[in-house]
Order: sequence, then C-alpha cells, then structure tokens
Amino acid sequence: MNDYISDSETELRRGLQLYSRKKIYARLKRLKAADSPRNILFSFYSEILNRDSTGAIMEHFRNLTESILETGTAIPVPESQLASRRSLGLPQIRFDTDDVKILAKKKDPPRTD
Amino acid sequence: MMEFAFFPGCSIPSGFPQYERLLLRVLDRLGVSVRYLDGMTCCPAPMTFDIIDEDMFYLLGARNLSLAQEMGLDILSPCNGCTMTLSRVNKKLRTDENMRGRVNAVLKEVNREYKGSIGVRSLLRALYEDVTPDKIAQNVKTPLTGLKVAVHYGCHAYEELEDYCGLRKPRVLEKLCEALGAEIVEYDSQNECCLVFANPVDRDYSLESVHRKHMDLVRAKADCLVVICASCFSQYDSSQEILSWIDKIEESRQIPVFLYPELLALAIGIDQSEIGFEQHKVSPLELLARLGFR
Repeated sequence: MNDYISDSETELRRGLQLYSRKKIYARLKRLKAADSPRNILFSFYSEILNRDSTGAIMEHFRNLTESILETGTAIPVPESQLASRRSLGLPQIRFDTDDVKILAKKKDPPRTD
Repeated sequence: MMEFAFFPGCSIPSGFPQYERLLLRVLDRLGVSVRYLDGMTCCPAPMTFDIIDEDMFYLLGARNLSLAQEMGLDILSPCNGCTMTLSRVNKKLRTDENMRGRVNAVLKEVNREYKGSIGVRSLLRALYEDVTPDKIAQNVKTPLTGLKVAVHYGCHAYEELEDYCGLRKPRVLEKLCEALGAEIVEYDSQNECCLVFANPVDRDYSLESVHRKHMDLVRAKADCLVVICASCFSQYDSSQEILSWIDKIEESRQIPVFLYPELLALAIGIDQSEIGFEQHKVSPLELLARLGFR
C-alpha cells in the first residue's frame, strides 16, 4: 500500500492514503512504458496527461470521483433519463448513495484539494 | 435460458436508454435473461478511485460483487469499463488474502461480505462464449451480405480479452460480425482508445484522433464502424458530426457507427423502426437501404 501514500509527511501523519498528483503522473508514465495490449488504455491516458499543462484532466478525474461519493455514480443518471427509462418500460434502477458514504467514512475519504 | 445479474453501469442508463431496451430484447431473443442488481454503486469507473484511493476502489467493487453473490448469479455488463473494473477487483480479491481481509473488515460496516463466488463477463464475452457465433448465425433472418465492417473494441475491452483467451490480437468481435454475414476490413488505428474521456479537457486532441481514425476507415473502404461500447459509439458518432461542422470531414463521407447489438437486432429480424437508428448523428439509413433494409 506504500505506493498509495501521499508524498507529504503532514498527510502521512493524518493517515491519508491517496496518490499525490506527482505519483499519479509517475504511475501513468510507468504504465505507458509497459508493452502489453492491456495498457493501451493507460498509454492514451498518459499521452493526454503529458499534454495536460493546466492539470484540467486531473480535475476531471477528481470530479468523477466526487460524483461517485455524492450520487453513487461517476456519471449521474438525471431524472429526465430515469423518466425516459420508465416510459420505455425498462426495469427500475436504484443506485446506492448511503453505503458508499459509510465506506468512505470508515476508511479515509479522498482528499479534494 | 441462461441467467445473469445485470450491471448496466452509468453511461448506458444516463445516455442510451433506448439502446438498453434493445439490448434486453436481443439478449432475450438469444436465450439470455437478466436481473438488474438493486442498490449498486458505480463500478467504480476507471480513472477514479483506482488512481485516487485503492482501498475505496476495491471496497466499492467488492460491494457490487456481493450484491450479485446474493443473487447467486454471475455479472453481465454491457459496459466495457464496468467489466474491466469488476473483473479486476474480483481477480485481486480472489488471490490476495490480505486485501480481501481488509476489504471484508470494512464491508462489515454495511453488512456485506465478499466471498469470491461469482464471475464477471462483458457483453462481448457473453455473446461469444455463452451465446456463441454459431447460435447467432442460426438466428440470422436477413444476413448483412455485402456490408464491409471495421471493428473497434475499445480500450477497456482488452484486459478481459487478454485474461480469458490470451489474445494479443482478438478476433472475437470480428467473428460475431461475420456470424451476421458481414465482411471484415482491417485498418491501421483499430487498437486506439476513442479518447471520449478527454473531451471535457482537450477536445482538439480527441477530435484529431477521431479524424485520424476516420481517414483510416476511408482508406480501408469500410462501410461502417462497429463498436461494443456505448461511450466509443458516442465518441465516433457525434465527433464526426463536429468534424463536418469544422470542415474536416465532408458530410457525404461520414461513416455510420453501430453498436454491435444494433446490427445483431437488424439481422435477427427486429424491426428497423424499433432499433433507434434515428438517434444516430451519422444516419445509417442510406447504407441500410443499400443492403435492402427499409
């Protein structure tokens, strides 16, 4: 689990187990270097990250993570689409928003700064 | 009748409910029944907790797996990303006792336990291994004879493909298309990621990538592109429209994109008006008319 501990000693003392941005970049670069079809995905992520001088994509990934904590999914299913699903006769769909918060609380929640 | 616990993910219910309905209908016609997981959470999506908090990644994945465990059914997901995540979590927790112990210690807080008793498969794998191309071919009523198809697996599909059949160059989607009577054409950028995830932050880069792929498809004389992932579909379908707006692609040279189950539905006799082609940005109707579908 050491790879998942953030760089800063202060954060270590607070017990946060999160990648720092620096480690995320480093990890994706390592994945890019690996020669395997399974790393096609990460090759492209890391290419994007290499171009991402503003850090916008990191913010994007973090927003998706926060959405999971808030709504249960990375891409929230809006009420209009739930209504559309109902009108199409699709089975009702229910995403949990309680357990995810309990689990996040029981282990340290992701840092958002 | 085969039965699976259905994990639709978030991208299909949030953006493609008509496709979701078609998918259920096609599966039913091929002898596959599904029961939706109740109270699922995000799988969690690739590039979220996997890079931000490993414990949460395994916890959320294990919680979802435990829901299917209660149903006593393997998970079937039409989303490549969900399949990749849930398979990865399952594999890790089945083989790493220490991680499984840590995950279960926290899962207890929500009265759940991961046991590792169920499997996970993608739609692609279920169609190929459980339904099989032979059975699909037997169900074809109108073969897609003369249709030149280029396939795109999507980046999230490769991990499962490599894991279950050791393929470095899979021929799974190709064989499924051939079962419908279509002809496969090869092209250069087949393995590239569609880059849909990059749209919110670097649209120019992702459009360049789609444009490159489009030119490869034109050179290969493909009639259409066939994908298995709704996000890839959305990227290649809607980006071609944008590329036409900015004069990078002539509208007459746009290449229709199909989700494989759409072509499957057409070939097994589901009425064209019920498939949802009117939702496509690049209309496939002229192409389909050329094949005799009206």
